[in-house]
Amino acid sequence: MSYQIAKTVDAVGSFCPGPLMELVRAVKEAETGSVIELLSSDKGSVGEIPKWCEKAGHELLEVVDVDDKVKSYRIKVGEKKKRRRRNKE
Amino acid sequence: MNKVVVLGAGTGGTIVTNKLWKKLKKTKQPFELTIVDKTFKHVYQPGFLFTMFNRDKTENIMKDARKLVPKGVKKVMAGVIRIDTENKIIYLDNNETLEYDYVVLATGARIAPERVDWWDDSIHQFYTPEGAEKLYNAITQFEGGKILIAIGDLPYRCPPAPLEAAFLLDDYFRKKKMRDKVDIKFCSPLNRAFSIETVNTVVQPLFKKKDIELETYFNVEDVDTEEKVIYSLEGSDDDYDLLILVPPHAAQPYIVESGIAEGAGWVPTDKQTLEVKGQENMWALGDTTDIPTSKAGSTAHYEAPIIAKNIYNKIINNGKVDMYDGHVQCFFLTEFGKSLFIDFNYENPPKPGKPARHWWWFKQIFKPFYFNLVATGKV
Repeated sequence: MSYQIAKTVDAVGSFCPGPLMELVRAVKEAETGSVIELLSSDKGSVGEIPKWCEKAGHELLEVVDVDDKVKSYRIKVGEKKKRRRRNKE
Repeated sequence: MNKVVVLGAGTGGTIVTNKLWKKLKKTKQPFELTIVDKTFKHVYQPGFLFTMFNRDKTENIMKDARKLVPKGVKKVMAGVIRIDTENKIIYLDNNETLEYDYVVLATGARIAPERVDWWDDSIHQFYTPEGAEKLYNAITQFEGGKILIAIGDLPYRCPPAPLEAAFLLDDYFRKKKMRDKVDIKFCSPLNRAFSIETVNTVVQPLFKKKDIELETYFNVEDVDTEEKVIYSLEGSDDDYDLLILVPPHAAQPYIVESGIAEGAGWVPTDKQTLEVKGQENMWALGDTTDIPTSKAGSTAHYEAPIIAKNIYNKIINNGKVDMYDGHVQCFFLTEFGKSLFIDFNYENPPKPGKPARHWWWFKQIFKPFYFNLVATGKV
C-alpha cells in the first residue's frame, strides 16, 4: 500500500483525553485525502478507531504493530461533510 | 549571569518560578529569574464550576500572581509579541525586550471562538469568569426545556468539566424541584460519555441513573443559533433551548508568530523531558503544550518540578535529564456533595472507585490549599 503520512499523532500513554480525541482533533485540521498516523497503546483503540472512521467518513487504510504494545493506525481523511443546516422553508 | 525567563503566571508559571528559584539558588551561580504576564491575574479555574452556580465568587478564585512568587523574582507586566529564538530575545508589547539563556513557556490556553465561524454570544460557556457568571443568570432564569451540553472543539481544558457541569445542573434543578421540566442532554465526541474507560464505567451509569441523556460520536460542526439547532461532524443534529458548549481553545498567538508551532499554536513538546521540540534551552508546560494528556492545572503541577530540575541540570552541566511520567490527579464532581478522585500517569489508567463525600470535601478545602501551597511551589 503506497501513501505518504502527512502527520503523526503520538497518543501513546494518553488516557485523558485519549487517542480518539487526539485523532478527531488532527482530522479536523487536516486536508481531505491526506493520511494521518495515530500511535496508540490503548486497547480500546482497536475497536473505537475503526468505528469512528466509518461513522465520520474516513478510511482506515491499515493498522500496523509498532511493538507488542503500540499500534499505528493510518487514516485517510475523507471529504469533509457539507453543512446541512435545516431547510427553513 | 544565567538569565531565566518564565512566560505566564498561571498555575504552571507560578509553580515553575517557585521551584526554579529554589533550584537556581542551589547552583551558587549568579542568575536572574524573571516572570512575565500580561495581567498577573491568577485564576483558580476549577472555581468556574462553582461560580456558575453562585456557590463561589469570581473575586475569591483570583489572586495577584506577583504575591505567589518570591520577592527576588523580577516581575514584568507585559504581553509577549514574539520570541526571536535564534538570538534568544523576547519582544514585549510595552516596547521592551528581554534576553534569555533559558525560557519556559507557561502561557496556557485561551478561549478562541474566532476559530469557528458559528460562535455567538447566545452560546453559553463557563471557561471564563464572565462566562460562568452569565451562565448562572441563564440557569436561574431557565423555566424549563432542553439544556444541551457539548464540546465545541478539541482540545480543551479539563476533560471532566463538561460532564461535571451536567451532573451539577441535574442536582441544581432537582433541588429547585423543577427537574421534571428540564431535559439535560450531553453530547460526547467519543463512543462513550468520558474518555477514560475505567472512569466511564462509573460515570456513564450515573448519567442513566440521573436521567441525563447521552448522545455519542457527536463532534460539533456547526450551530444555528437562530433556529437553536446544533450539528455534528458525524451527520446528526439536535434542538436545544439552552446551549452550553466548551468553547474552542488555542495557545497564545506569539507562539505561532515566533515559528514555534503552527495552527492553534499548541507547542510541540517532548512528553517526558518537556523540552520544546526543535528549540534550544526552551521548555513548555501546562495547557500550552501538545502533550497528549489533560489540559489541567494538575498536569502543570507535576510537570513544573521536572522543568526546574532540567534547567538546573543544564546550568550545572551534570548531564542528567529528568523525565515527566504523565502524572495527573483530579477531582470529578458527580453532584453537590460527592466526587470521584482520579489519579493516573502514562503507564497506569485511573481506578476511580465510587463517588464519595470525602472527595467532595477535599475539593472544597483544596482552594486555600492551592493558593497557599500549590501555586507557591511548596508541595
